[in-house]
Amino acid sequence: MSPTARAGVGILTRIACGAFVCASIAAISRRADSAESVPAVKEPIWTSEQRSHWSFIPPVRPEVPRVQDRAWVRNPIDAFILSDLESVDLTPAAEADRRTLIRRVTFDLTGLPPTPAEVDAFLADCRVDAYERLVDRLLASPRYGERWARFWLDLARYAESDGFKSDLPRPNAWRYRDWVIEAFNQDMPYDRFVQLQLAGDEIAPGDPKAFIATGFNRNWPYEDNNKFPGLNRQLILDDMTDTTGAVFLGLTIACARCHDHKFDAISQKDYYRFEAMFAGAEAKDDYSIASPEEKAMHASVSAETEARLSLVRRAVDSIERTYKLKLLKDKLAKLPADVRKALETDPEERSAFQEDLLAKNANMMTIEPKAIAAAMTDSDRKLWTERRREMESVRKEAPAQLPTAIGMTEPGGEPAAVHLLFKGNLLNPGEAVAPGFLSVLCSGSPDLNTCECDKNKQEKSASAESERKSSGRRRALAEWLTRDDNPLTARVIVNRLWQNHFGRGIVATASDFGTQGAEPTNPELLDWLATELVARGYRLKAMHRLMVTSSTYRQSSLGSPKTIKEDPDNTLFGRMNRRRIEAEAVRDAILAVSGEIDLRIGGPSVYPELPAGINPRGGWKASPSEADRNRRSIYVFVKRNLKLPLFDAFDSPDTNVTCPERLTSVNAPQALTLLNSDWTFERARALANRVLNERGASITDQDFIETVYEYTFSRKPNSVELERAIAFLKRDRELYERESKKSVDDRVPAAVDRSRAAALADLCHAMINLNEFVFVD
Amino acid sequence: MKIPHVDWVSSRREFLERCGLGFGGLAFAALLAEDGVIPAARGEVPAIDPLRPLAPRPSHFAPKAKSCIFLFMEGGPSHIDLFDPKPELTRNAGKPLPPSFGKVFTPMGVGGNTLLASKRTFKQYGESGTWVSDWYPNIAEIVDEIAVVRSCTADGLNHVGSVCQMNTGSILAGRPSLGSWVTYGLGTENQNLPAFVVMNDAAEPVGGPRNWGNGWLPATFQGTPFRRDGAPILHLEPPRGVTDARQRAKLDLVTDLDRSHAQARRDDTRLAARIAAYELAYRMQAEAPEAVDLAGESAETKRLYGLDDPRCKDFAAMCLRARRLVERGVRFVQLYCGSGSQWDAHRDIEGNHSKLCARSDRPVAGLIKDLKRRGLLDSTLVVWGGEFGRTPMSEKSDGRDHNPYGFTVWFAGGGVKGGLTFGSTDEFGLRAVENKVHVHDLHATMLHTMGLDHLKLTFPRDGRDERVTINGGRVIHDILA
Repeated sequence: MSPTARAGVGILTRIACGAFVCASIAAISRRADSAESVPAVKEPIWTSEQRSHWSFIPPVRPEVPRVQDRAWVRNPIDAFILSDLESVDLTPAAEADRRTLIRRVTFDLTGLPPTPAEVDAFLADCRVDAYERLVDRLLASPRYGERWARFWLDLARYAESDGFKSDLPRPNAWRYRDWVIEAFNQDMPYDRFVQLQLAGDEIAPGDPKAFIATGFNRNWPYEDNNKFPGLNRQLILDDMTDTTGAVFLGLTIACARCHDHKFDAISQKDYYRFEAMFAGAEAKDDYSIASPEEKAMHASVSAETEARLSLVRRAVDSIERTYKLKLLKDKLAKLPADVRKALETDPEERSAFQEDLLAKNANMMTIEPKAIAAAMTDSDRKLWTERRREMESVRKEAPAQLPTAIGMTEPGGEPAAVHLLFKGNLLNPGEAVAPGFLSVLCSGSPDLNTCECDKNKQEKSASAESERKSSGRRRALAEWLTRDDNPLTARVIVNRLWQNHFGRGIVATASDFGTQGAEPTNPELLDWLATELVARGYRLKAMHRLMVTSSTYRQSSLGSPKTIKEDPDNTLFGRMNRRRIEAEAVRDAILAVSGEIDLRIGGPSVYPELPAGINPRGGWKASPSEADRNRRSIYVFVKRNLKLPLFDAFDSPDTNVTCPERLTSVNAPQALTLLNSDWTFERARALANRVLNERGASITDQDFIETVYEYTFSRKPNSVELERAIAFLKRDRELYERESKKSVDDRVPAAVDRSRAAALADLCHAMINLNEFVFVD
Repeated sequence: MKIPHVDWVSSRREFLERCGLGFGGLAFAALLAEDGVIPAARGEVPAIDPLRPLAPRPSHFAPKAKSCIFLFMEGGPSHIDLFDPKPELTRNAGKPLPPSFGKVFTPMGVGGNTLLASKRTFKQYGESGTWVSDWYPNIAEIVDEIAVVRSCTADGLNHVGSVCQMNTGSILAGRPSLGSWVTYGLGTENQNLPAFVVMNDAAEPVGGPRNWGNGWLPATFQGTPFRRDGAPILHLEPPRGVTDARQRAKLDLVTDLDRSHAQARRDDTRLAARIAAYELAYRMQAEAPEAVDLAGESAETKRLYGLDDPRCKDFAAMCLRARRLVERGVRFVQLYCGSGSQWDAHRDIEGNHSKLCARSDRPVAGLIKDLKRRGLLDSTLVVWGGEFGRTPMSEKSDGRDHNPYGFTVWFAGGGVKGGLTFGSTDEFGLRAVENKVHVHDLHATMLHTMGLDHLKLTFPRDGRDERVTINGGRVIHDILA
């Protein structure tokens, strides 16, 4: 955006980017009264140029181009890539060797390094389709879902706490994480994957898994201490709108919150139309996912407890009743006039503002037990305290709560009106906006009720009637997004897959397919992939397989000097991009080579140890079990206000907003963490002990080094590396004997000399620190 | 088909030609672009040497300040009891705000409460005659160095949003902190110390580490918390039982093997950058402890900061360390005084602020005096302030509520016109009325003193050239020399 354009935006637009302007409470109450009289906003008329922006035109399946070197083409991807290369007289890089390939594709599909046994098996497999078999094995592994869920959770701004000051935990948020992992592992079609996340509750009412999927839009950060009436709801609506637009459509809809989008054909009214699709949705954090048997069992046990409880509760009530009434009367008399008025208003008649006001002031209407006790006579208090104690003990006998899930659903009734907000300011509402789609993508009216895009309308209204409670708006949105002729949805997801396999998307701005985003470097390939996805029933595994079995993917990352010179940024994919593995993969790879990784799938999150001195608000209690602490990183509790230092150094994203792509920066804290943290050092010692235990204490230095190389780099060291490592072991032993305090590691086999054990651990530690450990060729 | 044109291709080539590094010099932006992160850089992305991503970079124009020390009084200090005297408040104590003020919304709902007079005595000090209360007798001595901005405004009502905004520009989390932006734009003078250092005197600031986080900037630019005891930086010392010689031997092995690995991959600068990062980490191991070691400071200097006074010695040590850090070329230092919201005087403002003013008065004044006599004040911007001020209305009879509508922040040092009072609040100190200065304006002004144009320092993200001031910001030239 140019500085002039920026200056024109005006400072009242702050809510768009996360701030809002304080004003008097009265201004909000004006909202409802004044909105009716606000003139309708004039919408822009899209020019044919705007309407024909490349990503707004549905992809047409292109012909697979003819190429000269037909032998290189394993599948159509290669024909598109090679055709581009040949047109500028470049040739693809040679195929990578087998060790490189298995390491690359194993990290890529599972987020873990291959084990030496897996490498050996692959090297020994002489069948022509050995590589394809390897890919199939990896795609069938549960590790695949664990790796690929990670990139989706980045997009979904997934976290297990509220953020803001209290950063309160969301105890059941992990079920959504497990749902995503399972969806990938079971190869859920992407259209279904989208639909369930946006509207699982409307599409499959009563299905617990479909409800858990709606956790996607329950991932907003939440300020439990927000004092400004109405603001939290607006922030949540904005969050769902912005995230949904960015993730599924790859459009920066958020830019249109305060004004018409400065560059793309998205009007401000479009923004609020889209937002109105979510107007009925509210968080439900106590959705029961228990089976009928569990429920029946629970009911019979709790009925018994409940009977006892109600008896003793009645006793408590009879003692405190008169005191409580008096206290309440006193309190209500002191209520500010507007709160009092809200309280006196019939609940059905209350405005949203009044509801909010009452919620905010709930503490002014509740009577604390402390206050009751203070008002009582001594004898009453004694009796009352005894009965309350009894009540507590009965309560403790109650059966454990049934499992619940969190997600989004509609409580029923007509969703609240969504108003266009001038400059995105909650205090400056304009006309009410009907729910609808992005106008530029509709040939006629974008309004949900009249839009021709919504082909399922009739069927839907019938089902909406039977469900009664839900407005069906999110379902309509989900269906619109997953229509085969939606120009964006398929392109956006295949591009995300490509980005994660090849290191850069065909469209380099994975969540911006607008005019300010990058243009596709290989547009025909992108369209071919998008139409192929639809043709293959939206199955992602089929697309992964196509990509990673292509000759394009199998190229070496060492390009020819000519390719490097003429296409330095590798826009034509004439070689493989070398990748630094992501933060979670760094930790998982360390645990994998040390042999300590715990590969259990799913369940509540775990808490690895934090370094001393890090005490986040809300606490972080390390999981008592070592096995839990050694689980894969995807299962580490995601706290909005705290990242594990290792994750933080290796660019794990902020979880307050959707993240379409990880950065891969290089910084000193990465080195300090890997070189100096006790955690890494302990893992290195575990690796050394693992080799000693597996190969015996009498293993030669050379064999030891070779084995460690196989674990850490999936290859054997060359002679120079071997010599260097042997020299290091000798020198390190000498140093240890000369100056180190003799630290004792119980896990070292007794037959191994202490100084040798220390040197071997130091060698392993160095290996974990090497570039080759965190980069994949 | 011709090679499609992507903007960053040309910018990267330009940079290659310009920097001509032996080991395949590439713009850092282009490096990120390789990963698709900065694909279509249109704004002014700083040209960052991948081998030394924190190396000093040219500013947009000549800077006045090379470093910044941001003294963050967390919890919200009361401007009307410190720098903004209000005789009308005293005269109207016990009465509610006049109806002309309308209904005022505050977190604890004190809008209708009666006005609470300040118990402080205000006097004018220095040649400038700047007003300061008797809570800050030592700061009163340095008023001719400072520009008091009485008309600040912010957008948040509660701590976490407001602290977040004062650090990142937004009340919602997720954006890069000001210190990250500055180091992204300018790098840092000393390659052996972190560019952006943060110190807390008590609990973690509300919102936690994301207050000095890099947001969506590269992690290289995140703030580094310095600890009060032991090694100043997390993981600065080798693991238990590893001596320096063994550590060096290990690092040599890592470097040798990394070099031979990189030999066959010469076009990939990230590999060389990572080798350099290990060397930097090693040098930091030696240099950081020295930088915060106060043993070499004279008794007189220590006294100047208040290290002899138990009420303020911890914050005094932080201020003295901040001076040592900027002296050594650290770009951005942020000190939290009362971290964990201690200035939050909803009740007993007398007791609360007496304690916290005693904690900050001598250390802050000592810092300014020490910087000045060492010739460092001209090149160091010092900023004092909290996330908001406090209400003239009383809360719980003897406290004050949050006030983002009008509050005081002051500037001193590099490029700042000393002895100045700028802007004003209404007769009770509730709202800024004259020359309002929003948080974005404070940030724009801070960047300006450091030679950065807030409109030009951008990072492309999701189709927008993001900047620290989001879509506001105006440099307050009136307070600049």
